[in-house]
Amino acid sequence: MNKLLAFVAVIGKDNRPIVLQDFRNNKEITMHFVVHSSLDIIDRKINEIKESGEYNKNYLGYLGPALLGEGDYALYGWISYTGVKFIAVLKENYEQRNDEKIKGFMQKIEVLYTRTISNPFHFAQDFSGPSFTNKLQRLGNEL
Amino acid sequence: MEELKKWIRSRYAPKVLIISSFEARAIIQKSNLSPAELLQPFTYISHSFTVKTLTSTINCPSVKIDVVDTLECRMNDRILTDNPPQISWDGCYVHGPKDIKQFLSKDTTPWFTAWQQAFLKSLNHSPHELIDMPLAIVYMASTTDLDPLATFQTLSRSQALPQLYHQKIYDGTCPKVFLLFHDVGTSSLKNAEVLQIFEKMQKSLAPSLCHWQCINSVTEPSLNHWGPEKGQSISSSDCFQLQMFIDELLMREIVPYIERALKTLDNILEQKRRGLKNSIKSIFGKKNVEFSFQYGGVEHVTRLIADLAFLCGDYDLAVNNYRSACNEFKNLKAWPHAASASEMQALCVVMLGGDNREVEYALDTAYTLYQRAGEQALLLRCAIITKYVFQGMENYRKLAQKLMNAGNDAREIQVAYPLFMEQTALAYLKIRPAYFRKYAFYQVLAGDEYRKIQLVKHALNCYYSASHIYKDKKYDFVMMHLEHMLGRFCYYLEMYAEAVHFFLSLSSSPKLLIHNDQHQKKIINELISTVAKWTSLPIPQDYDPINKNSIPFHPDGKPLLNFLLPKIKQYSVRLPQDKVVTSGKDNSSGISVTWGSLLSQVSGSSHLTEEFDVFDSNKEMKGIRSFHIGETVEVSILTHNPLDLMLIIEDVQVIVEYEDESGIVNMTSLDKLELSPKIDKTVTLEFSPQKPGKLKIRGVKWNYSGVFYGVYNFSELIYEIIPESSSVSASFLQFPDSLLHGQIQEVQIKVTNQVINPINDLCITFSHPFMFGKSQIKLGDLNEGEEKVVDIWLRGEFIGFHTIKFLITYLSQGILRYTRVQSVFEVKPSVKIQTRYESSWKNPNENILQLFVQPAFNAELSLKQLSSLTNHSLRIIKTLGKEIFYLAVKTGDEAQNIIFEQDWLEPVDVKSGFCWEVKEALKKFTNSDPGLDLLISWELIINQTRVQGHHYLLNLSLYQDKQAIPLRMVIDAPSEISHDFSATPVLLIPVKLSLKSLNEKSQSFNLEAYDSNVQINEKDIQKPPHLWWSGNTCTRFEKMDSGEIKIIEFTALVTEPGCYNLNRFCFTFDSEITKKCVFPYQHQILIN
Repeated sequence: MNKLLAFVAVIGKDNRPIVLQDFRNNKEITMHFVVHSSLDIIDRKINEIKESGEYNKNYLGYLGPALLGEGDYALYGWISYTGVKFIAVLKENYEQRNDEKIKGFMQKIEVLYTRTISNPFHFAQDFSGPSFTNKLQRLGNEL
Repeated sequence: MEELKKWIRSRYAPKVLIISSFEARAIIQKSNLSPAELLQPFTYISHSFTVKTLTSTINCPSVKIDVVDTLECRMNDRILTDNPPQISWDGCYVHGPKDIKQFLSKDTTPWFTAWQQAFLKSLNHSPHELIDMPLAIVYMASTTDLDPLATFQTLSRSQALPQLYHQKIYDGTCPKVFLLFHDVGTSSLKNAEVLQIFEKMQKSLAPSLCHWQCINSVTEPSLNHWGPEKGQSISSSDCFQLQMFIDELLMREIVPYIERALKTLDNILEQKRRGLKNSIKSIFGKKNVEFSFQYGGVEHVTRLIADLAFLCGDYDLAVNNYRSACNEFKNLKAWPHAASASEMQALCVVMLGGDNREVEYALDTAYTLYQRAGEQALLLRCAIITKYVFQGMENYRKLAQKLMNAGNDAREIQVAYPLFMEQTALAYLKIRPAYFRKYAFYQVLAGDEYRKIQLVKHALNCYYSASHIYKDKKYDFVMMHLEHMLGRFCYYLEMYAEAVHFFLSLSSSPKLLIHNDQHQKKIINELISTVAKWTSLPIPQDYDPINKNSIPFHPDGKPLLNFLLPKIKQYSVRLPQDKVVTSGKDNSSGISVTWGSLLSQVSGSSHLTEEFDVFDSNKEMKGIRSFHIGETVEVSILTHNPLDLMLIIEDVQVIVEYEDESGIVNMTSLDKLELSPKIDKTVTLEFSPQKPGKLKIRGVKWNYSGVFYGVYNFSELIYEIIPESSSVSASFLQFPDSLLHGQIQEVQIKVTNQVINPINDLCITFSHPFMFGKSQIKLGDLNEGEEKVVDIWLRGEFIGFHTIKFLITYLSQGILRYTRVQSVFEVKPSVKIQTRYESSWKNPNENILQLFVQPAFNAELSLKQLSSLTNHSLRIIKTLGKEIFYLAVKTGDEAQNIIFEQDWLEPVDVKSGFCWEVKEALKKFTNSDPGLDLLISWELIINQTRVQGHHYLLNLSLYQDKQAIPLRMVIDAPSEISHDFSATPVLLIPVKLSLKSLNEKSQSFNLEAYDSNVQINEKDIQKPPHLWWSGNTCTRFEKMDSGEIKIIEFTALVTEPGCYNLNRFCFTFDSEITKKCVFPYQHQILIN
């Protein structure tokens, strides 16, 4: 199955990464670079939101491409009300790009993240366990 | 925008070609100059002049002419190698948005500027454009030539012109000027002879085109126009002449040529456009054949008009002709020609101050056409022009995009990608607000590509500048990658100290542990090989320029590095006085007291209080601690191997040195330490100083692979070493691991004086006095080498673990010293005792104590003794089974001394005074009112082993029924009487009633004896046969004091056998007149 979800990043309000989860077979760190550099675009979009006053806008939309050797990827962003940023890197699929679907997916990531950190047994900042990763993967498969 | 226009003007200046003879070049070379370089300083014409174009007269305020020696300028392949970045480890780098302004204030990529200049120069005189066509040709010959005239004639032959003239792309009819040089310094020709040659020249070549120029005529230092080491022999008059020559060249030759050419070309164009041939050609032209300029062709003429107009500043005329040329080239599928025209069209619009969108469109068209033509070099040139234009427009976001595309599209030119990625990065940095993270990313991309083409210094610069953005941002994998590459680059560039810095940082990164063991091994091996290479140098660099600190070296030439593998989780230094001789389990659990509290019992010890606080709280002592020469100090380190591979370190040593840096400290070292993956291991190293002074324990070092020393630095640890004196060692000869509660055992402590000097005032102070009956033993003096064994009785008290501490203090050479010994042992349960009280009916001063004693585990219990430890006398009433005893306890006044009414209750030898001492110690723990203190001595037989001990029952409160009736009533009457009622029908029974007032104050009450047929209260139901009282049955008691006893006698009367309750007494207290009180128990009598 050709999976669309390649990478998910959750970035804290202070722009430090909380989750950097690669779903590709190729675990190179290029995605880390790409995600980090996309924060510039996110900052710009946040400023645009502030200027327009659309404070209830969470979906930041398309953040740009990530042109890697193995194929084209597209970055999408989401910001929670608390300033936590969610970045999904999806395999570029020009024919089937469905913004509403991606928006829904991003929202689900936020809910998953919120539920995980609300769990009293969850160890802070540790998202390396299979539970969180598998749930993310399942969400990605629904795309 | 003005900067942009200035750049366009300087880049697209009119060009003049120099063709010189060998001799002319030779005399110019004397001043370290080429012919073009000789003229270059004078090519800026600062006075205004006018040029008449086809449509207007252009006033040029100034102009710059480009002088070229050749039309074929090859690109210097080593231009980037010759212009490496200067790595400044502490230079200005971008960490975040705040640093950008300062960072961009200087040329951050001078190598790109150099490359760009050479690159653009190499693309001048392309065959698809005419903007670089020379507008004049200057022939240079020297008077030292054999025949200067013949030389000029040879030079000016059409065959001598460059290829572009032969291809009829460039106009060979442009003005040609002949410049004769006369080397004043070295030539033997006199002026007259030179004039003769010049006149001959003028006659043959036309006077207006001939010029005579003196050179190398310097007699005194003149203003240098060429820079150091150049043009030293050119005099001021030479310079003046050269300036005049250029002026004349422009005004007399170039400007008229342009005006003339424009008119001619316009006429030609007019004719060509009208001609049938061209009309047909435009429709049926050979579009599939590769296009090249043909002199006099429509496209050539249009382009030449445009270029000439552009050069003289008529941008309106130029833009129209470029547009027209571009369309014509497109029709002919002459893509590079069309692209070039479109490129120039964009620049014209810029110069005219036109719409930015038009500029962008024209540049995009040019880029696309170059791309279609497959001309990657020209594509890059277009990108460079775009760079200047977009910089002028301050549109950095689009610029970044275009530079990135250009870098990707021109992959055939290897250096293009990294150079353009670097420029893309800078463009992102110039966006407001800056995209500094993208800057970092593109710097890494550039660095990666630089690495591939062996430009390692450039790669290092890119990675290092990017690393500042990622530093401390928690992108650990990224940082690890950067540090790994930086380490490798530094190694390649033979910057070994820097490489070691990066590899060290990498090896201590927590994320290294996420990688597999192979990767971990690779990193460690790279570190080792780097250090080996570094230290193999004759004089290795001992300064880390990144951390800006010096790197210490061991005398054996190996460096001491802050290598954090294995990790030192914890370290501790134990001075001799810190050591505690411990028996039993080595933990400090259970009931324990502080060492400080023991010290407080020793007189003259206040100066040691802070030190003892350290023992109790594990805090660090602020002052400098001291110990004696020859005593052993232990340094313990807890090592941990976090890696997935075995770590082997050798020669583990503590770094110890005297503050005055003299003297060697003998220390033990561990030859080899093998640490399995993820394993902790504690290592203890010892040393004993032999010299007084201040001693520093700096840290610990270990040899890694025989290449370097890993160092872990402790926080500042300084000690005072004082002259040697005798100390006391102490040990337990026998100390139980466990005792039963109440069990008594003798323990022995042996104290031994060392053989240095006698000691005085030896004293042992210990905790848990309730177990020993005392807290201190004074032993007096002890001679050199003398030992003393101290016997102490110990009784187990309080179930659980106990840490018993012994502080042995003594004066050694007048200094108070101490030794600490402790034992952890457990007190286990032995017997369970429960007590219950009742009042006695025999005596108002007597209570009944019920003791329920049983073993706490499966053992045979026997009680050996019950003793009162207060002034209460005991009398056994009865025993039930083996463990329940009823004792009568008589209080107070009657017996001031202890009275034991039976042998069994007499005191046995319960370690004589020990039981009293322990009791007194235990009494300190109880705060309740003093009552009965009881000692129960027992023996347990456990698996045929007899264990003896005793229990204390302290402060047992005697029975007081204060709540019900504030009186104690005792009825003294026979319990059984045999009587013959047939002989005497009435039986008189004497009843003696003892009353004791329990009220604290005096009280008054009435006593009334009721017959049994009278119901006292609702609960009182008496069945026949009945009992009667004879005589006075009602008595009044006035003011009976507290504890006062009164005895009243009654006579009861019965008429038949039976069991009677004699307790028919009712009390009415004055304070509660309405309430009658009856003691709620029966006193039965059996009448047979």
